[in-house]
Amino acid sequence: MHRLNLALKLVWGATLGVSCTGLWAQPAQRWQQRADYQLEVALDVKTHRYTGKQAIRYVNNSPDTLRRLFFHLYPNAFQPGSVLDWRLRTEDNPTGEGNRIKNLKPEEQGRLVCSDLTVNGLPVRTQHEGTILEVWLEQPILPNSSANLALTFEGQVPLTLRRMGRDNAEGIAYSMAQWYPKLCQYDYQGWHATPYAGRAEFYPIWGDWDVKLTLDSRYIVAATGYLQNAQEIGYGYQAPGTTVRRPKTATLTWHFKAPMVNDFTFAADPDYQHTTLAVNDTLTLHFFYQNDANKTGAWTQLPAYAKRMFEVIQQRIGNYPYRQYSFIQGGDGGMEYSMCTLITGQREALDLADVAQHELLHTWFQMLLANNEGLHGWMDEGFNMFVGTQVQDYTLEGGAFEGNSIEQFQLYYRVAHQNGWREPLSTHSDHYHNYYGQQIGIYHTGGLYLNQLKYIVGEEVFWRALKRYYYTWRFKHPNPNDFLRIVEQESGLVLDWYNEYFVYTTKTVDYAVSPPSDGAGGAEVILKREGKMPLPVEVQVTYTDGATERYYIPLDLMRGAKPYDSATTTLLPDWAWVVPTYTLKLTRPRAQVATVALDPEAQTTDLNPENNRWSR
Amino acid sequence: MIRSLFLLLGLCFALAPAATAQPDRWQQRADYTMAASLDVTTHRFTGTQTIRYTNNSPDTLRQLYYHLYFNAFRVGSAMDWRNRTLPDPDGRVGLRISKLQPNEEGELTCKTLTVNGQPVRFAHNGTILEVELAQPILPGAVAVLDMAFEGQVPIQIRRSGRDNAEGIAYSMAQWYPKLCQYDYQGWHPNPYIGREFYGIWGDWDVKLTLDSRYVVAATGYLQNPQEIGHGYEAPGTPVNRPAGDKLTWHFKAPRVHDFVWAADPDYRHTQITYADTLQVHFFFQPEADKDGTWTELMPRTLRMFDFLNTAVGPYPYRAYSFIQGGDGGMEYPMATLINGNGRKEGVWGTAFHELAHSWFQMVLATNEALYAWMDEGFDSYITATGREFLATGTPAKDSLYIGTFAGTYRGYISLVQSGREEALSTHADHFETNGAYGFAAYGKGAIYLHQLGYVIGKDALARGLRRYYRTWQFKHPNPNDLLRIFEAESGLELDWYNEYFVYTTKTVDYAVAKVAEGTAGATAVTLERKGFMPMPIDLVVTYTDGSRQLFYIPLDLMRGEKPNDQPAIPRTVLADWTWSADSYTLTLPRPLTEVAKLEIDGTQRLADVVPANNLWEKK
Repeated sequence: MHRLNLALKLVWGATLGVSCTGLWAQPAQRWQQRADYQLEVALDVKTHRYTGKQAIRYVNNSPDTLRRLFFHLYPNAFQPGSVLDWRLRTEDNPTGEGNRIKNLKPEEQGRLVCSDLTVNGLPVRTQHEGTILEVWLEQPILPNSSANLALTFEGQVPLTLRRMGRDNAEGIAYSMAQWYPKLCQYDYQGWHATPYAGRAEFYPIWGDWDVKLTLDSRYIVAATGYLQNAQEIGYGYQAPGTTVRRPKTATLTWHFKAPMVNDFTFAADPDYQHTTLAVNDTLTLHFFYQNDANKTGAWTQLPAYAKRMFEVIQQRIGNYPYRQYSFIQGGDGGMEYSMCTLITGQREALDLADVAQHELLHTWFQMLLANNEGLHGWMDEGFNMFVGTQVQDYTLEGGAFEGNSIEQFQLYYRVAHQNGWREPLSTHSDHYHNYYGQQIGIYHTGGLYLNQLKYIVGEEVFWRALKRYYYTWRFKHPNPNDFLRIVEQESGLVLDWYNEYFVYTTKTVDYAVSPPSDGAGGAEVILKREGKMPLPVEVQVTYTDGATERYYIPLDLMRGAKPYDSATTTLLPDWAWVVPTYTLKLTRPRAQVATVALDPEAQTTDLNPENNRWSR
Repeated sequence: MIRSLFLLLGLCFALAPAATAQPDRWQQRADYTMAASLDVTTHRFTGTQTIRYTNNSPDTLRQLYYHLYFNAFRVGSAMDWRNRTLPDPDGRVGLRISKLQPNEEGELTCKTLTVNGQPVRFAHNGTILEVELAQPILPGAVAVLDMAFEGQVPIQIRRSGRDNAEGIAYSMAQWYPKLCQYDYQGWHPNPYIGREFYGIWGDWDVKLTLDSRYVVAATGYLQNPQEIGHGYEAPGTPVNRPAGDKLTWHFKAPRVHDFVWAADPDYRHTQITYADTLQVHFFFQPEADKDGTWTELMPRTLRMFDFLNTAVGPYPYRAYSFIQGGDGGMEYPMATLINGNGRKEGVWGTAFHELAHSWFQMVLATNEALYAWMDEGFDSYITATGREFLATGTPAKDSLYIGTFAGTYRGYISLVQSGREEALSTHADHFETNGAYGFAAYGKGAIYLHQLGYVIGKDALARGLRRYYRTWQFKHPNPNDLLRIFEAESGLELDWYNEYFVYTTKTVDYAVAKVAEGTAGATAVTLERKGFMPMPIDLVVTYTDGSRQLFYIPLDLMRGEKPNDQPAIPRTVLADWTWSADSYTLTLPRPLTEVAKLEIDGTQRLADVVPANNLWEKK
């Protein structure tokens, strides 16, 4: 138990301390809001305070009349007494992870305060409630209309405690994520004015961004989007071989544009090295790191790995739709953002590539398939983890990390079960009681969700479905039903029962094999469903002469079978989910049966693999 | 449907009607034309069915599925297995299916099936007929499904069947091949194990042919009453019954999602009129009325309609039938089958419960398998609130107080303590015990609404319920649709309420932790959140002089405050309680010596699983 906890911590440090975001939406049938941002901000690098103004063109595509608006003010989480502070004090967290918020001095705290908010030019009433700004509209925003929101804000960058802040553990000056007043999402479930509690991640709105950042001219900025004034800025952004015409001022204004994204992140440090790699004519990768982090050569090696990552992910999931991506040293582990990631950089080469791969993959599972991470964190973290196991071997040329394997996920899943940490995947991430329950839930159980689904529908159908999911739902906000419907359509199977058990309950799978007995015409093997959750069943029988037979027993609820090779596999009648046993009739007598193995490739979440196998 | 558990629930009241605007979700449509002929000596029937199926979905359909419910009543069926393996099977079923003789079993078989005139491949798989379409049905397209079927009426085991315990010949529910529902969650071909239904909206045209001595009660409006008689004819007019020993009854039912009928040679059939627009029919054997149970039921039903029309919204059809039949009480469109021989009050209570299902299920057609609590629980809630009105004819002045819900809350607490509770989001078929399923659907579903009244205020609850009915009638609302209505009506954010109370089994437990002398003649109070589920807090302070003060602490997640729904007590609104904080301190403006009593939720609407620590009293 203690050892396992340690093992878990190690993995957390390596991959999981990292987190991610995402969204998704639907084919034609579901409306989604739109928010186009224009931001201008000035950061004082001595006081760590910033001021700015923001204009949002907000399009209400909903059928609803909006009478209120809400903004996230994330930096306010880093104040004593905040929701996040309280959450860290009251959740069950066996890692011993400390809560530093309560000890922050005033100049170390975060702050974000809005003023002068107008909607279509009219001043509106606002109230600051921790990390949420509540707004009462003077004039409602009608269905299918747009509104112009304008405000000014001022803030203070906190010390980096979680994801964002100044002066992180590796000495990166600014990791500026979730730093601006960010309009809350409104969807078919209404407003998502979720106070920031740290566990649940983000759920933003699609739109185009235009951002001007002004700060000390010695700082190098890395950000979401495309720099518009590269020839004024230089710092590696200029066209190769061209002259930079930088204004001779103490500050520089950086102008970025980012089309069709749902967030805007930047980082700044005077000591950044900035290198680029042109993957092809349409995609350039950027790397920002301090020399210190490259003592191992990790950052020098990263571009080659990154190129391979793009190759394999695009081939498995689908095309990357933007022209650039930045790997930025910063933050507190690894966190995904639109067109970039902040990762801590003082790592060995493979370790760095591992984190980089996880965060990059979030571009697909969260930055493009933008699911509500608070409600469905497993759809980005879990899907990412699963696909990560599939791409690491290729990306890292055989150097995949041990923790990134289905076997490890299954181990964590069982540990979580045995310790009573599990809650259904349908639990809102902020509201899991136990930290491990939440982490093993969204990362590993989420990963197993896909792996087990691959077992149910078959390898080829599964990968086709994942691509179809991506192309159907990118730039939208998919939910668990949307995903499952894609897999149903691609497989022709009925799969509602799968989410009903695996997402909405913590019921578990446990099938068992009994010793063979003699029957008329051949041996008989009684299979038992000991767990509450039903699955289709596959059995591999080996005879004493080495011959093998494979049997496939679909579940009645599936209303069909996955593709199988009839030359090697015998399709048997459905196993009705209500029936606790199933009699398997073999072609040869009991004396010739050497082994009977259920789930022979260990692809399910069977809780007790030891009773899956009978050997002579 | 109704179960003995219903008796645990209190009955009580409040509400009024309105007009309609509809959210934009596609739904399929199935218009049925059927002709069936029943042989009352063999209990076998044959029929033809034409379904005009409109695929309003954006999806191309390559399969179809039908329910063949009667196949559940066969040895070795899914329903048989479920009842053999559940730790607490339904007492009406138990092992009865496993012991059926062939002539007692049910059967429903598809003989031929064409789609748009083309034969299609189909396979019988228990209670589901699986159909492979030769040509897909495209989005927006209409397909004509023609089927010939035959079947055998089982001995009445559960809901449907022949020769029930009270001697009713035929209780014909779920008797025909019924197209499975397809919605945004895909197909719903759930094998029948005895629980819930989820039908498709459409118009029905049904002709039933059987022995002319039988009186038929059914969904819909009889088209040929002057040929039939049996109490259907216009009063004082002659009946021209055709020659022969059989009669063909022709019913039409617009905008329903099922068609039920019952037949018995001994039925007495009487009708009364409600508000000139609605014929209320009663079908019962004389035996059942020997104490006047049914005769006395008749005027009572008018009051039930009054109540439900006001509290939820107008009943939209021109007929409703209370039919003796079935095995307890079960709701159908424009009709119910109920046992008729029991205690008077029991029959009346069942009639009320089943009638209320015309609102919560027959018109608000939720997927019962996934959200049984939205029909059973809401029905339980509304009938509990209507009890006083039925008894006295005057609405309850204040239905806030727990009164008739006390037993429901006690039942919930004991379920929690048993460790067998499962989340409301569990599919009805897949609960591990009947007990946990039953209480979730009926009890916790009723508490869901009653407690929501605590969160948003009783007026917003009452208005929201009516708006929900108005908005979602003739559709298929889900829990999010419901919650969005209450958000709109209250102006509060309520996502957290479903996230906890529907999707988890986390519980509420708040406590008055500390009451102490404060500074400057004030009293310092500390409240604690001991349970995982957060809630807003109504704290009523009673001072030694008998005056009372209500301190209201909104939950931060609500992003607002409910109106004071206890106007008799002056209210002070305090700062939000941050959901993640496990304690909250407040100051009473008077010294400790003047404080007599503190009580969290004096109205007892909060599903607090440890009520004892909600109260502090000066010793």
